[in-house]
This record gives sequence, structure tokens and C-alpha cells, in this order.
Amino acid sequence: MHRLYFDYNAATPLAPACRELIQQLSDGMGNPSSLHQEGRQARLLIDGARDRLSELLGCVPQEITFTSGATEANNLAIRTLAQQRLSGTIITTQMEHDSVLAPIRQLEAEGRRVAYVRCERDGLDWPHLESLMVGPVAFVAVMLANNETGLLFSIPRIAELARRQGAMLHCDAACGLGKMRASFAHLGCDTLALSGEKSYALSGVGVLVAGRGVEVAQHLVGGPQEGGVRAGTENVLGIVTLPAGLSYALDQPEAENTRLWGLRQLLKTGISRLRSDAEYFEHPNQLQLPGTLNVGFPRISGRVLQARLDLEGVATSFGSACHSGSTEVSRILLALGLTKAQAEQGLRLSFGRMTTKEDVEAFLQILERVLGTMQAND
Amino acid sequence: MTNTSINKKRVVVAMSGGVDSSVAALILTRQGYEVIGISLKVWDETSTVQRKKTCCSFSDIQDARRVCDRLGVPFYAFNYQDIFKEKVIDHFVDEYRRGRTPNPCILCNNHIKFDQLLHEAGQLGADYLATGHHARCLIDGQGVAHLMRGRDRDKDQSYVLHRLTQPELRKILFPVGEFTKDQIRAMAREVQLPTAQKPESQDICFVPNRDYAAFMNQHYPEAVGQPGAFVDVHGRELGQHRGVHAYTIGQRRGLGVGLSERHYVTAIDVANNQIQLGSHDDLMVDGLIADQVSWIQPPTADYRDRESWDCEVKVRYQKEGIPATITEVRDREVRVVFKQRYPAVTPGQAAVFYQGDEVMGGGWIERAVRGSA
Repeated sequence: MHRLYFDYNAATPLAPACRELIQQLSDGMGNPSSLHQEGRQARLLIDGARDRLSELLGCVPQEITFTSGATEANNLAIRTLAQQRLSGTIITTQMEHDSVLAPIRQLEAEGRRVAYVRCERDGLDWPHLESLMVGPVAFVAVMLANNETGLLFSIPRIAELARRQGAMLHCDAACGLGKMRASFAHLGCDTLALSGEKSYALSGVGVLVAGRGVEVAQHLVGGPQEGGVRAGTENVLGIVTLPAGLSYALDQPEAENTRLWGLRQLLKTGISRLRSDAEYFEHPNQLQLPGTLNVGFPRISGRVLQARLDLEGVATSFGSACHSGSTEVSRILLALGLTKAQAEQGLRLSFGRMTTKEDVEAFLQILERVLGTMQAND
Repeated sequence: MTNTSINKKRVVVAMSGGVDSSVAALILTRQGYEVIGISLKVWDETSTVQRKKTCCSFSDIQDARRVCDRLGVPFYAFNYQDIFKEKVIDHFVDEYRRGRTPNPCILCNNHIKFDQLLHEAGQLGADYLATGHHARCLIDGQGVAHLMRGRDRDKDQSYVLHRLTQPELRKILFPVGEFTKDQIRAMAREVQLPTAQKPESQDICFVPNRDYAAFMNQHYPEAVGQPGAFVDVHGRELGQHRGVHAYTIGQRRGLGVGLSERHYVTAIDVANNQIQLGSHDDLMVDGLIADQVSWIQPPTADYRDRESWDCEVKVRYQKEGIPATITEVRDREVRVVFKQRYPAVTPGQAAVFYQGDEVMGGGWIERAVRGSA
């Protein structure tokens, strides 16, 4: 059965250039730290990847540390900033990924003061943020784009506020950077995280970008790799796919943006035609990523709909996975002020580079059939 | 593998992570059904007292997932915590507060599995919901469903299924009811199902070690009863009890009263916060009143005229029923008179009526009947 894939925010398909790279390197390679030719070839691949990435990200190669993913990069960034600013409030939002919130909660448990900025459907509550930015602030952590709703955060503006207060800024860009062009220099943050599986590259690899003023905390010891900060033989294959995936993601961004907004509109029109009471959990003025559409059908469980669509060949997403492996309603939707009933309906469709108009039309046909046979919950 | 085809019927199998539901799924795949495995998360085990203990719920869901992977069928884990708390746990606690002894598994079957999950199975496009319960459901020539004991009387679980209705039974399958436990384990071993050797759990799924008093102390302290007096049948005080929630009719152990003869809990008086203790003889009852009776096979038309109806009654999850006659008192309330006196009938448990292997229906035990009371 040909499946339709609408879960780009969990993982993107591999860019064609990445497939080629994987094939080319399928014989394996030497250890980049070895002193022979095979080792040097591997080292060259990493250096090349670092250089290309720094061009794509608007930073310098020395600012890049390769990790196992955005989770590791976020953990490392939070710990780094907490060590570099030993006192002062830590400010973040409830919209952040668990890999940002969990280390911050650990710091809170250790006695650090933490404040959470309110967010609503139309974004950050700026007056609230400004009211929190009084007194000593250690650092701020805000994501570039939210994975559940596609909401965008104006990082340059937050960076400006942070700078005035002498605070540092971390930006989890895992969801945003694979979908929009953003330069590290322009964003103005001190640290930034991104991951391979959201950037059309391999999973299990990611990047921490740390600006010149940042002293990256000692992370993994036992080797000289990544400036001695993050020891361990490098994931060469993963690293090499990163710039290939990212450049595929960022090719002709304006044209792609327009195309995605067109697909989004096609989806919404089609969905609303099936159910005029469908609710979209999105920015009221569409100031968000076009490729993330969170929709709720009144009296239909999003959890059941996700399972049903999967059975009919469509991959979508519902809620947040809890530790035992079942799903809970998305805490992000609840944090935005949705009621529990609304959050229980919320189905996330996320799409991107390889999604076509035909995919959208095929999806709408399946959705029509499925909704037709699903009765409303009483 | 799991492509929908016109002839293939879709079945949702409720997977507990145990061997019975695993083999139920196996049998159905062999019979040509399109099987979908679903586990229900009903309780947050991280909130129980023994945090260090292996969370059976977490590994149960993983076990169920592995079985489905092995069988090549889709698997989903649905979070039912809210509805489970509302329909099962709250009622469970309330019963103990009232001095009754609840059976939460019956409530779970009624409201969770065969209500909510059955509904959602339909929404998933399934024709049936199947479980690993040891019972049988047969549809006769007229399309009437008959709920029967499982073939293995020692493992029969029809008791907890008695509140199912005709429309529900027509959409339910019990694939393992035809087999003994040994046969079920053999089937699992044969295909090396990950759960073939898994021991059975006797616990209530949300009460570790069956220590429901500790459960209530931790999660529902407001429902925990106050200490009060143990009294004998004449009202003389014998000692102190820990709170009515911690005792059940017929209980002999853990009373903490040093008395020469063996004593049993014979009555729980919530109004006066007293618990009556008596001898084994004091436990004997002649029958019971059951209410909210639900029928799978309603008594025959001349039931009311004949006034009474012979059957066997199970008054708890037990192997054999007690021979009795039942009489309707009013709509959905029956009086059960045992053919011979029987020790201990516990309000809050279910009284389930059998004729031979067939479950006719059942109700909740409201009170015991002594003499002609």
C-alpha cells in the first residue's frame, strides 16, 4: 500500500543528496582520529561538512559542535549557559521541547529560579516577557518554531531584550531550521540546536552552535574530538548528511514557502468542506510555518482518528508520547490555552519538500471516507 | 500483511500484555482476521508507593507491542486514565467508604472495555472487539448471543462479563475460551510469543499487591475511615478496627483482636462506624437481594407468574455457583434464596446467575438475607 506521510515534524524524509552520500560511503570509512589515509579521508569529510554547515547557518566552523541530536545539543546548551551564568533567573516557555524543559526543571530542583513566559495562539506574551526581564537574568531559552502548531518566535527581538539585560539566549531551532532560512548571526542567540532527522538528513546526529562568547561546558570526556568538549568517535555518515539535508531544505526558500502555503490552503479548504466545524489550532494571522497544520474535529477523538488514518495508510501525529508509550494530549495545546476537550481533538498534519498536491488530494479522499464512517463521540 | 480486503474482517484485540490476550490475537490472525492490537493505559503507575518496583504497566504495554510486532499487526496504546478514574477508581473508593467490597474488574469491563473501547473499535473500522477473557460467546440460529463459561472451569472469567448486553455480545469475540490454560501457553510457545512464559497477574491493575488500604491512604485519604469499635452480635465491644474501608465480610485474618475462638467479620455498620464480628455460624446466610440486575437471557415469559426460577449463583469470583432460586422483587431487583445456607455474602460484589454453563445475567449484591428477612 502506498502510504501518505504527513508527519514531517517528527522526521523528514531523506534528501536525495543524502541517499547518494550514504551509497557512496556504504563501504564504511576509517576513524577520523587515525593517522593513516583512511582516517584522514574521514577527517576531511567532517571538516568539509563543518565548513559547509557554517556557511548554511551563518556562523564560523569553530562555533559548531556535532552531537547525537538536538536533545543532546539542548541539554549541553542549557548546562553551558547555567554554568556561565551562575546566578539570575532562567526564563523559558511551556512551548519548548522536553529536551529543553527537562534540564531546566532539573536546575529548578537544584534551586535556580525559573520563570515561564505565557504564550497564546498568536505567540509570546511580550508584555509578560518584558515584566520578567527585570533584575538579574541568567539566560533565556526559546525555540525558533513550535513543533506542535508551527508557531514562530521572533528570536532577534528576544535576543535584543536579553542583551539589554545582560542575559544569554539559547534557541532550539530543530523544528524551525529545516524549514526556513535563518542565520545564526542574524538570530542573535548565543547557542542554537538543530537535529538531522528534522533537516532531511539522518537521525542520530545534531549540532550545537555556540557563539564566540560562550564557554561550552565539558560534556563527554575521554577523547580529543570536538575540541575535547564532546569526546567520542564521530558519526561521520550522519555528520556528512547534515549540510546535504539542510541545503536541500533551504533551497529557494521563497518559492518553497509559497508552494507550502498553497498546499496548506488546499488542505484547509478540503477539510473545511468535509467538516465546516473543523477547528484549526494556528496563529490567527498565519504567522507560522506553513507546513504544520493542527486541526480538531468536534466530538471526534484525535487519538482514534490518528490510529484510523494510520490503518488507512496515512501517517499523522497526535499528542505527546508519555513515558509508558501511550499518548497523552499535547501539553503544548494545553499550554496555549486550549481546553482539554479541544486538545483531545487536535490532530497534527505536517508536510514539506516532498509533499505534492496529489498527496494532499489523496489524503482528503481518505479523510472523507474515514470521517464518514466515524461517528461522533457521545 | 494487514491490507484491508473486502472479505477480511477487522478485529481490535484488547492487549493486556499477558499470554491470554497475546494468544487471542494469534488465533484471530490464523483465522484470517485483520487484527489490530490495542493496549489501554488506565493508571499512572509512577504515582504508586513503590516507585522502585518495575512498573508492570509500562512493561505490559511494551510486551503487548512486541507480541504485535511478532504477529505483524499494528499496535496502538490508548490513554484511558481519565475515564478509568471516573468510571472505575472513584466508584471503587466510594464502595469501600460505604462499607462494601467492590469488584472493579466488572466496572472496567462494563464502562471501559466494552463501552468506550468497543465504541472506538467501531470508529477504527473494526467489526469486532476481542479480549483474552476465558469465556465463550455463541450466537444461535436466531442471532441471539449466549455467554458461556470458558472450557476450563478453573479459569472461567464469565463472572466479570455478566453485564454485557445482547448488542455488545454480537460484536465481541473470546478466542481463548475454548482452550485450557495449558493449551494456551503451548500455542504461545509454539510461535515463540514473547509473553509465553509470563506469569499471570492476580492483582487489580491499579492496586499493587492487592493492598487497597494502602492505595486509599495514598490517593484518597479523605475516603479512609476512622478507627472504631469491633462489636459482637450482642453489641459488646471487642476491640478497635482501623476504619471500615479496610475490612470485608467474611474476613478472618488481620482483625487484630485476641479472642479465644475464630472470629469473622459478619457485618459492617457504616452509620455507627462499627464492625460486627461473629462465629462461622453467624456468617451463614439464607440468600441475598441483588439490584441493578442486567439480563443476557431474560427469564422466560412466565417467570413472574411462576414467581421463582432455578439457577446457580456465584456471589464472588469463584469456581462453582450456589444452587438457588431467584424471584423478582421489582424491576431489576431480585431476591436470591440459597437451597442451603451459605457462609458470607458481601455487599458490593456481583451475584451472577448461571444455568449450566450459560450466564443468564447478574446484579449487585445489596444485602444478605437471613431467615425470611
